[in-house]
Amino acid sequence: MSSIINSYNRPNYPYRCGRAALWGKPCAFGPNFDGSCGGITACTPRKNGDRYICNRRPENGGSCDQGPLPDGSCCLTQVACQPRRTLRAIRYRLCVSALVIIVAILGAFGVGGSIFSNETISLKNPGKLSNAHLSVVDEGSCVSCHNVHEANVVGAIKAVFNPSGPTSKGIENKCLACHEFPLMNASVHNSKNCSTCHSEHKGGMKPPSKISDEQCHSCHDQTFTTFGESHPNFGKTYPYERRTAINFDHNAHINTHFKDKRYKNLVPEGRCISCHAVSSASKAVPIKSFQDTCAACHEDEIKTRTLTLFQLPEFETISFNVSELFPLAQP
Amino acid sequence: MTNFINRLTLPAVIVVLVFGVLFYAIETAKQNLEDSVMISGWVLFGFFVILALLNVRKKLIAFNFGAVRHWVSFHIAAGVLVIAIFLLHTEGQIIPLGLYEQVLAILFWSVSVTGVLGTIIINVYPRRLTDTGGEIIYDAIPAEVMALRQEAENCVIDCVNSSGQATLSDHYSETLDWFFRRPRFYFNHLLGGDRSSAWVNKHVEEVRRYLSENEETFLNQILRLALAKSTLDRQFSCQDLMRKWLLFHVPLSIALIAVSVWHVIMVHMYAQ
Repeated sequence: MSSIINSYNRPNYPYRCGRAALWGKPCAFGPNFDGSCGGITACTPRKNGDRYICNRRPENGGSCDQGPLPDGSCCLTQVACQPRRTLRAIRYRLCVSALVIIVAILGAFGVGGSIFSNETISLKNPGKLSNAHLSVVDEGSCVSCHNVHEANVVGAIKAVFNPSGPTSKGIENKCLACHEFPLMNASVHNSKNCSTCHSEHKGGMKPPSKISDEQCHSCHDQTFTTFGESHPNFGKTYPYERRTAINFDHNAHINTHFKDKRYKNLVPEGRCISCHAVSSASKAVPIKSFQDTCAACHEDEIKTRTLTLFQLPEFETISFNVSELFPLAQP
Repeated sequence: MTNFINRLTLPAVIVVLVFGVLFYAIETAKQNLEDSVMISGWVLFGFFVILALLNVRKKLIAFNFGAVRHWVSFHIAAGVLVIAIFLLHTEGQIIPLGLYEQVLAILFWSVSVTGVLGTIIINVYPRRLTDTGGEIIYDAIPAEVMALRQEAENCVIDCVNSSGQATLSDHYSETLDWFFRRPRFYFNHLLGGDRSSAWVNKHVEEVRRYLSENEETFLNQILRLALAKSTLDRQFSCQDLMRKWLLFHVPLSIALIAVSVWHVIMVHMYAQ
């Protein structure tokens, strides 16, 4: 399966013969590199002294009888074809086009907002803010947390190479502008970047990331296997010395009662934060109210008895009818 | 297929090792409450660049940087790894929340899907070409089609000249001329069907009974040419698909890398 026609192929050329593209007879010369038809004439006469000589190839019929014209051009001409791009050239153009489109879109919408209106098309926004932050920070008000949002080009380039994120530990931290941690140095909030546990731009209600047992060791020096089994004793007075404090048995609750099928519907959801009020945490994480934490299981165990701390002195009520006794008391 | 699997073994082992090391590094970072997303992100971007090097390798034909078939094997194995790293990076999210990240994710999944399809194509169709028989350069197929058509038309003219009957020529112009004009039954060839040969046999045999012995000789020649054309059509369909899937995969990859570069800049500018 071979053909003498168009035997000289040029795979590195970006164009192919237009006649071949229409499944016609391709010419022997093929298109030129610039995309013009190379087969308008049957040959390119060669000058020998003061004469032009036809050099049409033998497989195309050899030298013609008429020979070259006086001006040196070939006498056999045909209508030029419209060369088509090769698949390789089309692929290259598509690649360049894709790159240009991406750069254009970024230039139009990604760098300084929209070029068509004042409304920002949030190409920089990785997602909606959480409900808690959305109530205090307007959506789209990036500069509330990100200083770099209004920086010029130089400032933006500097920001790429100088970590200065709003949740990073240090003076650039924007979380501490609203959130206060009185005993921060002694709390977990002094440990790492805030976004390690509290991810933002995830939309809706997003609790802090789950902290695995292994992650405890990033702050605690004393290592243990799991929180439920081998966590060191908190001590009777942890976190505050209170006479009425309940020594809550995490191990028994988490590993025994919460796994009991009978109490499956009563198990608090959300792990730690279902009982611990992390929003008001400082040195210790306070416990939520009895109704929010223990009542689901233990309310029935509390007797319905009023606790009387103070009572005014009073006389005892007479337990018999005076009017009936009165006649008996007569002389 | 066996050769392909053999070639894929070493890259697959390397990829599994890389994934193991990466997974360990990410878990360690998580345990230390460090930013594991940054690790997976940079590794992901690095693999984008490594995967793109295959295209560079194909262009550097003057230098011996290893056989392209080995590069392709590594490209496929690394492509699978990149999907796993992407899911690690997005923490299992197929499509993220932000508009820009969604564009990035859609581009990524488009490149992945076209890559998987391409892997199937480059494994299925070369074997089909071998089964078809013959070797023909893709760029030379139009000339081959034209040569077969010219030969068939000459055959018909010779038949008319020698027999003086126009039965074969009339039939040719009504049926087989359509077949010889250009490659036919494109999708049927891609699906592995043989409708082309069946069509040719049907239209050749339906006229045979009306031909003389002399004309039948020419008909047999046309049948031979038509079957050769059918083989050529199959070559064209397979080779065409083996080239055209890259029209999707490569430009999408370029766009993905461009979008990723901006994503990296944005992350370092805003989040770190």
